[in-house]
Formats: sequence, C-alpha cells, structure tokens
Amino acid sequence: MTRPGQTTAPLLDVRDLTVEFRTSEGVIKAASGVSFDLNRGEIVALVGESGCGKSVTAMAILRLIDDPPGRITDGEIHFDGRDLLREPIETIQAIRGDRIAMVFQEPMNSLNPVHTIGDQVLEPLHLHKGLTKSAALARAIALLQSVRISDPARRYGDYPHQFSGGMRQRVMIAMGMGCVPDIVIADEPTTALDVTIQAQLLELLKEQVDRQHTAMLLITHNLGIVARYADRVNVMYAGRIVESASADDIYDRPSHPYTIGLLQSVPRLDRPVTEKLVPIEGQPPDPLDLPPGCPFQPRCRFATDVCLREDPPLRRLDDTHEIACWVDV
Amino acid sequence: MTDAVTTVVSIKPTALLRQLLRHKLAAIGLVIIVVLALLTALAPVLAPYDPHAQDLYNVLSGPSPAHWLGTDNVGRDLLSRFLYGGQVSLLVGVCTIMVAAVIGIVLGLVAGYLGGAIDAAVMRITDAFMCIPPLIFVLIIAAALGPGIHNVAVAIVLFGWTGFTRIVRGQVLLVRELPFIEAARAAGASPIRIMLKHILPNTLAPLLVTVSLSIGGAILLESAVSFLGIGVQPPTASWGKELRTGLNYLELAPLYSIVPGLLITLAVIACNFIGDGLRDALDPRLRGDNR
Amino acid sequence: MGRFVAVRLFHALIVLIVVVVLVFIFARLMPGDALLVAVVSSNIDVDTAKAVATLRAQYGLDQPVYYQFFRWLTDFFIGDWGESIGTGEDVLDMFLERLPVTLQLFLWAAVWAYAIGIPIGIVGALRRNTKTDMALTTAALIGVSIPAFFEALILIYLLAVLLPIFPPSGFVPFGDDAWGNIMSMAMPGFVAGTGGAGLIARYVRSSLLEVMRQDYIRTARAKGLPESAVVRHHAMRPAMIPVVTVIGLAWTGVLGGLFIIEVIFALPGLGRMTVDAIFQKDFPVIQATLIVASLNVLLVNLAVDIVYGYLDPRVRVQ
Repeated sequence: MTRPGQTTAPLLDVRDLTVEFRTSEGVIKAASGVSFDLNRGEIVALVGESGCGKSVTAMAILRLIDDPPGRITDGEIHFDGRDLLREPIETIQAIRGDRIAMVFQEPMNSLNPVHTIGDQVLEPLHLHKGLTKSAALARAIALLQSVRISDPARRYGDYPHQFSGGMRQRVMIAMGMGCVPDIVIADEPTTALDVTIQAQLLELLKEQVDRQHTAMLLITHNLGIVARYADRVNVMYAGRIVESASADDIYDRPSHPYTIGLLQSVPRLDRPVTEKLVPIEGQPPDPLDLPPGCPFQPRCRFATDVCLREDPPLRRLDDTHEIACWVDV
Repeated sequence: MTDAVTTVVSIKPTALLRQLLRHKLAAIGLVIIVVLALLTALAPVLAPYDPHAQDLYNVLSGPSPAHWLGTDNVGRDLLSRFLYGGQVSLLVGVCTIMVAAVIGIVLGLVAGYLGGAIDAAVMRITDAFMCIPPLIFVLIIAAALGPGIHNVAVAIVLFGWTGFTRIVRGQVLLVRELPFIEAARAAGASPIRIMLKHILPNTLAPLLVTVSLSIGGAILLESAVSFLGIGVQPPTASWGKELRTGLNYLELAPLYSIVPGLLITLAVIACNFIGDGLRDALDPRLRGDNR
Repeated sequence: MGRFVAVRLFHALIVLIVVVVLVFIFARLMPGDALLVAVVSSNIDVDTAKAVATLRAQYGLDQPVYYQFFRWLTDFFIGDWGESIGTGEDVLDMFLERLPVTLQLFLWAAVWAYAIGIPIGIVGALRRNTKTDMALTTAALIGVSIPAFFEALILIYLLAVLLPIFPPSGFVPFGDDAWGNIMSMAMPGFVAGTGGAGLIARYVRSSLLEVMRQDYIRTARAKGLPESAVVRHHAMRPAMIPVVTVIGLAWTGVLGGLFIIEVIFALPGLGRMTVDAIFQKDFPVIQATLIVASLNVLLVNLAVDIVYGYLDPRVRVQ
C-alpha cells in the first residue's frame, strides 16, 4: 500500500500474506494477513517475540518455506512489477541472491562445512553474474576485505569451522551483498553473537546498506537495535502486524497495548533508574489454540467487549502510523 | 556405531508403542513377529504330526491334504518340523541377544563411566573381537566346543556383546557430563547407584534399537551356522538346517528348502522393520520435540 | 592431519596385538586332535602313538605355550605360515592361490552394492515418505534381511536350474575363459552385493535426509541455486561422509558374507578354505586366516578414518 503523499511505488509490497503449517496436532497460522512495504534505501524492522511469525514472513518473501509442512496460502508480494508468489520457481531462483539477498542467523550451520568460505562467497557471483571462477575470485576477495576479514587472500581457502561466529556472519554478509541486491533481508543477524560483536556487525551491515543504497528488512526481537538502525518498525504478534510506524513514533507514541507493554518492560537510558520495569502479564498464545477476537486480549489491560469478539484490522492513526486495535490508548 | 542418538531421550512405554504402530513398516514387522512367535510357541498344539515321526513309505512327497507342505527325506511331516524348528531358531535369536545385551551393558557402563585405562582396555578388546568376521568367529567357537545348538548359542553370545558395549559406552559418555549426574554425585550417590539408576535409563533408546536389530542378526547367524552343518544335531530341526537338507532335493521338493528360507527372511525382516521403527520413534527430532 | 593418523595407527596396533592373542587362543581351543585325524586318515600302517608324537614334535606342539606363540608370531612375519595339517601344503601358498578368487568376488560385490545402493538411497531421501520411498526402503531391508544362502538358492533355482543361464556353481579363471569367468561370478557377486546394497541404501538415505535439513542447505537455496544444484553441490558431499564410515563398520559382515557365498557357489577362494579348515580343525590355516582377516578389517577401518578426515575438514582438528 502506498502511503498518502508517497509518489513512487514501494520496492517491495507485501499484502495479506498468510502462511500455514500443518502439524500432527493441527494447522498453525504462522503469519496471517501480514501487510507492509519497503522502499529503496529504507531500513524496515519486523519486531516481535519468538514465534510471532517474523522469520516466517521473511522466508516467505523468497519462498524458502519448506512445503511440507508449510504453505503460503494467501497474499501477494509485489516486487519489480511482479507478484513473487505467482511466478515460476526459476524466476524466484534468479532473484534470490541477486536482487533480494538473505542473511541468516548464525547457528554453527549456515555455511557449508565442507566447502571453503571463498568458494561459498564466490558462488552467487558465478551463478548470477556469469563471472568465471577466476574473474569472480578477485571480486570475492574484495568482498571479504569490505567486511573486514583480515588477510582475505589467505583466508579465502579456509573452512567455516576455522572462523569465529562473528567472522562467519561477516562472510554471510559478504555473500549476501556480493551481487549488489536491491533488498537484503537480515533475519536476526546478530542474535547468536556476543554483544560487543553485535555492535560491530550492525555497523558493518548499515555501512554496506548505505553505500549501495540497498533496502533492508531487519528481523529482530531486540528493541535496542531497532531504535538505532530502523527507519520504520512493524511490530508483530501472533502472526499479525499489530503496529506499524516510523521508528521515532514507535518510541515516542506507542499506541498498541502490546508495543506499550514491550517498551515498558525494557530498561531505558532516558528514564529514571528507579522506574520499575513492567512485564507483560501472561504468555504468548498457543498458535493451535488462539483466543477468540484479538489475539492479545487475554494479556491486555485495556481490553473491552469488542476485543473479546472481533479480531481488529489495521487502521490508520495518521499518515505513517497504523495499529490493529479497537481501543485508543 | 555412528548411529548413537546424540541427545538423551526419555521413553514412555505406552506412548512409544503407539508411535511405533503408527510407523507402517514397524507395525507390519510387529505383526509378523507376533504371528511367527505364536505359531512356533503353539507348535505342540498346531503341529499335525510328531516332527520326529518317520514314514519311509512317504518320502519327499509334495503338498497334500495329509501333509500340507509335504514330507522330508525320511517321511517326516515338513509343516510340523518347521513349526518346531522355529522354536529353536527364534529362541536362540532372542535368548542369546538378551544375555549378550546384559554383558554388553555392564561392560559399556563400566568402561564409559569409569573411563581411563579401564575404558581403553575394554574398548581395545571390543575392537579386537569386532575385527573377526562374525560368521567365522561363531563357526570357530562352535566347532571348538563341539556339536550342538547350545554351543552355537554360547558362540553367538561371545560375539554379540561387542555391539552393545560400544553403543552403551557411547551413550554413557554423552550422559555422564550432564548436570544431573553431577548433582547426584554431589549428593553422595555411589558410582554403582549412579550407573544403574541415572545413567542406564538414559541409554535405553539406542539400546532398544540395537536389541531389535541384533535379534535379527542372531537369527541369521544361527541359520547360517546350522546351514553349514554345525549347530542343531539330528533329529532336531531348525530353519537353517532344514534349508540345507532341503537344498539337496531342490528339484524334487522345492518347498523343503524354500519355506524355511522364507521363514528366516520374514523373521529377520520383521526384526529390522521394528528396529527401524524404534529408531524413528525415538529420534527426538522426528517426534517434533524441537519445533 | 599427521597427528590424527598417528593416534589411529597406535590404536590399531594395540588392537592387532589383542587380536593376535585371541586368534592364538581360539585356534588352540580346537579339541579333537587334528594330528591324530591326519595320521589315522593317512592309512599308513604305523604305530599311531609314535607317529603322532613325531608329528607333534615336528609342529612344535610339544613345546610350552608361550614358546609356541612367540615362534609362531615370528614365523608369521617372515612369511612362514606353516603347513596345513590336512594337506601338508604351505599355508601361504594356499592363501596366494585362493586370494584372486576372493578378490574378484569382492570387487563384483562392491560394484553391485554401490551401483544399486547409492541411487536407491538418494531417491528414497528425495522422495521421502512417498510410496516410492516406502517401496525402496522395503527393498533395501529385504536385501539386508535375506540370508545369503536363501537368496542364492532362489537365484540358482531360477537362473541356473529352471532357466539355465548361469552356472549353478564353480569357478572359471579369467585367464582361461573371460566370458565364463564373468558368468560364473555374476550370481555370486550379485548375492554378495545385495546385502551391502541394502545397507548402503539405508545409510545414504538417512544421511541425505539429515543433511537436507541443515541450515546451510537453506542458505544455498537462498543464494538462488536450482534444487538439483543444491543437492548435487551442497548436500552430496556432507551426506557421503557417514556412508564412508559405514563401510568400515560393516566390513566384517562383508567378509563373512563373502566366505559363505564361496561355500554355496563352490568357489575356490579363501572363504571356502577357511570353512573347510574349521571343520577339519586345521589350525595353521585357521590362524592365518583370522590374522589376515583381522588385519584387513583394521586396515580398512584405518583407511576409512583417514578418508573421513579428508572429506570432513572439521575432523582434522582432532
């Protein structure tokens, strides 16, 4: 959806995305009716607790959801004049790594242990840009350099297990940015790393993004990262977007009870030290057994009758701020 | 064996059984083995004739209403011989593995938990035993000890413990570093108590799989040894031995050799199906424990 | 990598020593005096007791056990493996004469096993839980479960008796008649291979399934690789690693299988020789066979460990 006042179409336009998973105990709607967009050069964050559907949404954009057990059952994803959900898989494969790249969380395993990191960085270059291995070699080494891997020519032939977690993630970034994508999707890029490394890596990512005017979809549960790096924020809960606003607005004028609760439960430097942290009561809902009406309602201080019966749609608060809530807080 | 489950799994018997039955092949295996066990166990009731009763006027006759599978080279009813023979084949398979398992578990627990020189010694000996091809091993021991099915059983046990020792030791190595073992030790539990009460239950998962698969292996071994002529002595029957004798009359009475061969194959397939099913049922990832 | 190999070698050496001791004990366990049998069956009219005593001295069996052990060990290393008690032939010669037959059988078996096993495993993994997969899994399990002698029986009956395509038994050396050699090896090789094929298929399948679940496969897809390239370039190599180790573990089974197939098909190989020797309590032959077989197993396992270290860079660090 273009926002009022915006003249160009967004780079990526996700509408009503719904992803279901079939399990032995029933069908889970991991994402339901998710809509947001992304403009060139913007950093948009998808924020939420574990299990809220943000990673699933990100993976759905590149159709990386394993089927079975998952399935994209509804929605449209517009990119470059096409609906990615309706294109043949070959088109998507051509886009992956080239126009839209993904940087994953780093458990030990996102890099292939039996191939050198050099070969893995080189692979998208060879695949999408048609560079021969030798031509791509120089470029790959330059990429490793740009992510601050020291002695890149030598380390090119090393294996993933010879790198630390932080360095592996830099390699992932190099791999993702190699073909100068229009969009990079970063799924919890720093969650598995030490706090000090996290900062370095995010700066690196931002630098890459700024330099090439790439758009970034940043998936995270860390509100601190969001505050510093994101231009716009979408807060997700139980598979839905519950609030969408600029980063400033989210922090200054949070309007959805969940967002308010999140911000109150996180320590902030601009508040008195003695102010108490207020946790959100209750547990995230069981995706197999969602409560009737608004999914947040059992934990919501402001819940009214209608909240118990009807699932609120997204509504505008102003030009750039939307919430999915019946109540005006 | 590289099959060691890499996380510790707790087992609930009824849930396990249900999960197992959902696995189609394992369910088939279970049915087959139960049917075979029942048929052979009820041999005294089901067998139409005494398996030793000869009838020299009726040698190598084909299937007939009187003898459903025909008769052997001295006129004994084949159906009865196969039913009784099954007792030998199946019992040897199960009993030898049970004993071998106990030995193997004890050694594996001790080696894994106590570590150090004891562990090294036990493992090198286990490796050495496992260097020798099982069939040759069993043949030599059985030949050394003399004819008879009991010596074959002893021989199988003497080889069978090695697999269990390896698996149990592997699991013990995983389990003994876990915090709750540390806690038990701090609370003053003796090594034996820790081994039996805390470590052993957590090694059950791969153990069950190994037991099931090993029983199939033992049945194969016994039949191979009996086929070669060591093992059961006449006039007792076992499936392997009958197959051997039947081989001589392959053209005259093909059922004489084909039926026991089929029975052995079915029994072993069943054990393998069940073992596979157990392995899948006990794999924590396939159960969806970490979604 | 060097240290890795050295440690393995050391372990193997210790195991070898234990095996040697075990073998010595086993072979001597034979009751029933082979010498007595040899004398009596030779039909020469002699004073039996004296003849046996002479033979005993000749074989050094009147010496204390540890002396025998030491003597035998040193003899073994210089190539003197003694004489067969039954036939008096030099054991080493017997070995060398029969080795080629067993080697051929092994080669055939290996080719069948991999040629059938790997594709079945791959297809089963890529079509998991479909009817194809269940059929293939069942076929693989049958291959593993069916006793070699039964499978041989069926094949012999169908392809040698009913339809006389292959010879039911016997061996034709390659030098004499190349085609005859192939025909005589076809069935035994196939039977020997099917057990291995089943095992390999199962391991390939489970290993490939495991690998396909890994995060780096997802990364490969995210880079835009078509699915066939993802499997071929990113999944196959890590998946084959456990399959290599399976070879090591199953090796003893492979050898045992070869031996019994030689007996069934009357191939003049090492297996037949061993089984005959066991029945005749011919312990020089038994000893030699056990040592060679165990040495073979140890070497194969060592080789597997080394290849594993080569395939999986992570292991080399140990």
